[in-house]
Amino acid sequence: MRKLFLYVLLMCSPFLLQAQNKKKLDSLLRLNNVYLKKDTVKIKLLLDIHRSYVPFDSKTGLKYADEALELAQSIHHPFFTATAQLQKGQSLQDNGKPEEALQLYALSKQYFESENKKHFNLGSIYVSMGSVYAIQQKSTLALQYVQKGLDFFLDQKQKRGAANAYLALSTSYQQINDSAKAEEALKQSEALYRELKDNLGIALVLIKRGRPQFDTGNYQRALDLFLKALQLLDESIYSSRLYEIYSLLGDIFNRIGDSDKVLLYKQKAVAVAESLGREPLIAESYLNVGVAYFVLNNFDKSLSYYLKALSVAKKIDDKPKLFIIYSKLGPAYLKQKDFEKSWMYLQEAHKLSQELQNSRHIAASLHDIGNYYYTVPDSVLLKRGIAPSQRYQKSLEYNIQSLQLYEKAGDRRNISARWASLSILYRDMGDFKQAYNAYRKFITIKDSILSENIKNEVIRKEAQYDFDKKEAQLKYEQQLIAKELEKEKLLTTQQQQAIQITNQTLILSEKDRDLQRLAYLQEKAKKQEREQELKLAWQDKKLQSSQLLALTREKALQLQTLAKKNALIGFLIASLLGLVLAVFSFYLWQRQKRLNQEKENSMNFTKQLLQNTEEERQRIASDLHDSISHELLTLKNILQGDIATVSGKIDTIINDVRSISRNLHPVLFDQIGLVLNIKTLVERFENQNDFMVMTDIDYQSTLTSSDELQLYRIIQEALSNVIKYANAHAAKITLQATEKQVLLEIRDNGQGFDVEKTLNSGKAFGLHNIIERARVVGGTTQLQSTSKGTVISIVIPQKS
Amino acid sequence: MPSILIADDHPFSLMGTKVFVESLGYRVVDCCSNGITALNLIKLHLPDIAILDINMPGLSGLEVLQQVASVRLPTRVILLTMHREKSIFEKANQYGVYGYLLKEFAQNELDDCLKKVNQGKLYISPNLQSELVQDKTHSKDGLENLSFAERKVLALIAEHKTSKQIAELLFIAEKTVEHHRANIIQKLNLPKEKNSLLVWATANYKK
Repeated sequence: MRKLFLYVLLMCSPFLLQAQNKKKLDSLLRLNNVYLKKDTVKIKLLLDIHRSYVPFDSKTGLKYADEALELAQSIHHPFFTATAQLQKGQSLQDNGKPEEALQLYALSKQYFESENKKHFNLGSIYVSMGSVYAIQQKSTLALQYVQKGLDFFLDQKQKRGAANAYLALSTSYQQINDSAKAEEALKQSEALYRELKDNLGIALVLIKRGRPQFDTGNYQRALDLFLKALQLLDESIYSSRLYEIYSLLGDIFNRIGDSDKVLLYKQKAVAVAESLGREPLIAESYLNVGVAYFVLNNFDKSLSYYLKALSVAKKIDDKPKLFIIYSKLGPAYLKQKDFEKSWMYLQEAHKLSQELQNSRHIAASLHDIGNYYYTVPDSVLLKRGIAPSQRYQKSLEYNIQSLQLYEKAGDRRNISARWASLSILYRDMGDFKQAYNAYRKFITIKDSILSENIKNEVIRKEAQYDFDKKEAQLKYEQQLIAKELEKEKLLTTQQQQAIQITNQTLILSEKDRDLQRLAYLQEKAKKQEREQELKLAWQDKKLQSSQLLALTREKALQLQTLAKKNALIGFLIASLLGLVLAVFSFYLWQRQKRLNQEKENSMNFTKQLLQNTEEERQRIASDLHDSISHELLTLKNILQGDIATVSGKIDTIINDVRSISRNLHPVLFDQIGLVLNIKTLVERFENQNDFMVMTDIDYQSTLTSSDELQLYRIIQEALSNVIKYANAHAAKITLQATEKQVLLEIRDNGQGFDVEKTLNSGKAFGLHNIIERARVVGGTTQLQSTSKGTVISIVIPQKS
Repeated sequence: MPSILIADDHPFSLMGTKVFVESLGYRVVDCCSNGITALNLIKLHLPDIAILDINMPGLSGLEVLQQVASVRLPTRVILLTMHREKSIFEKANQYGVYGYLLKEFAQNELDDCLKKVNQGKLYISPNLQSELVQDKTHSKDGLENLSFAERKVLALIAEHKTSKQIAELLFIAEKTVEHHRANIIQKLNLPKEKNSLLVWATANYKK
């Protein structure tokens, strides 16, 4: 029964989605740990584990395939042996051992061709063999086998197999440079994967489609495809695909010239490589990050990554990579002015390049050395046994050698770069004719490359735009996918739960039977016990009744003390609560009081304001009536009289009008400016009241004219208060404007007053007037008053 | 004969001034009734003298004066106004006004003013100056020569305050008080003896 359930579970497993792969793997590994029998179930389990490991950790996967194969051989099960051979072969192929893989495939093929012709493993074998031949560059054979596999799958209507086969087919076509057919195969593959909703598969296809675009310089299209692929992969599950995508994206951004994005993706690639534990990838990713930092002029970080890459590359003895690392380390140390280390690595690089017999590498190492001679200080040059006067000559030799090698290799970019350095060298040597010629060559070659660069620049801009657009879209799509995943997750958990439940019911039904029997026996035993107990109980009863009495008494006592304790605690809590409530209500009451007071103050203010307006009008009216009309009347009466008297009378009238209007509003306030107005006000105030007012003004008009008028009114009000109430010797007005604020201060040395009380008295219209006016211009007012004087200060924060 | 431009928003006033100025024998090149036109016409004709009212639409006479001063036009500006405020006159003075006349006294003063200004001299209405003086309280106690601050200081000396106390009471520096003291002694012709000022103040100065 259990076996059947395991089977059901295992059969479902391939259909679980990629995102759940890890979860599935965990549960499989757990099963594997508890399932210790050596039978076909175990083999199936091991093979499933292997399959789960394939996408992201082929090394560990290989172990499980190996174990499965051994087990299958030991129990002589031909089907599983062949299956395990196939799967182990695939892992070997992934781990870079195509020959061994091919042997296993052949064995597996033998079995399936003779015994189990319809099984889909046969198709897989054909395709796998094809891909091995492709790796070995035997393209005709590869094509033949892959096509065979494809036919098989199409015949059997196995979509997944067919999709894989199309994918392999495209690789083979690519090898024989038939890109049209390769593209066609990829399209077929993608369509099938899409039908199967196999994101991993689609991502694979997209990467494959992007690569040729990238190689032919069609960066935008490639970027497009890679980003689509990235979107399909689950970035939380590290796989070699993910590594591939990250490093490809890094390369693309490198070509487009977006250094920050290069660093981002290369670092992501490092994380993936490290978690996969594959040394070649790790070394490569460290190297790439080092280069990215170098481009960003962060040489410390760059060096540390190069050194990390170096140690890994040394471990796996990857010579081409070692050369690249050496050739990066030399210039990096040179930038850091560590000339000894730089020299050492330059020499290492040169040695290795000759050992590898790669002319481009040799050329690169040569001009690096040339550059070294050019850059280092004289003392280092002497150490190398070269006279400082020979510096340029030496550098020139190396650069020319390098140039010749590049010319042989036809590497235009590097040829132009060499001519540029040669031109600089000739210039420094004073040979301007040669320098000119070299520079012309540099320009000519550069121009031809430049047209390509311009094209790339345009693409970069477009790509950036598309990238931003796509990211927004991506987010949205990912949200959709996440939602779908959630649903499917729910579904699978439900399925799993259902399976568990059935499983448990089955176990229970077996247990049930046992239990029934047990229950029967138990009942019997109980009956016996009870009979005995009854006898004993009767004897004990008398004793118990007396004990019971004592117990009840004791309990009553305990209850009483408990009740007392409880009462105390209750009382404490209640009083605490009461206290909190009291504080809170007191606070509320205070607040309410304050609010009421404020409300009353503002009401009083408005009332006073209205009343004052009325009074003001009355004053103007009476002024006009008493002085002007009166004077005019007299004027009318004496109109016939002496012209001088008339003229004098008219002058009086004009002066009256002047003084009325001046009292109403300072004349031409906005044109005269605040400072002069204050000075006039103060002067007039001093003369009218015989009272000294000092001014300390440091102000350039920073406020609007209407705000300035409010300040003027405040000063007027404050001064009038000082004269009315303060009984002071003098007053002082300070006006200071800084970048942050405007400060107005009116200070007197009078007798002072109780600020709080006065404000709340309902009569302090002047003070409220000051506060309100300050508020209108966005300022805050502070009133301080002691028996030694009063300070009114108003601060208006400046709007920047 | 110097050329003159006149600007006033009141038509009667404008025409009156024009006819009056012409009757004095001057050449009026142009007239207008708002500040912006006035400025433009000044730039156009570059008259020797411009007679401007202060209250005008567009730009005030004060603002026209400011513009004329800031671009250093050769035209000399006379303000002809009803405003007798010291603050306005001071502002006009800052901008370099050549003449400041009150309309009510123009009939008597304009001729004089134009002559002075034509000679490159300043002319400020004597009536304005009297007004400025008039603002102050007239003291009849022989202390006319003392400034306002000096009288305040003297009052406090009479109350037997020290220089330090006076400084604190009047919000000024102690040095300033000493300075005032010296001035008072000089102005009142007091003997240069110790305490002479204190003695004099206690004896003579009553609040």
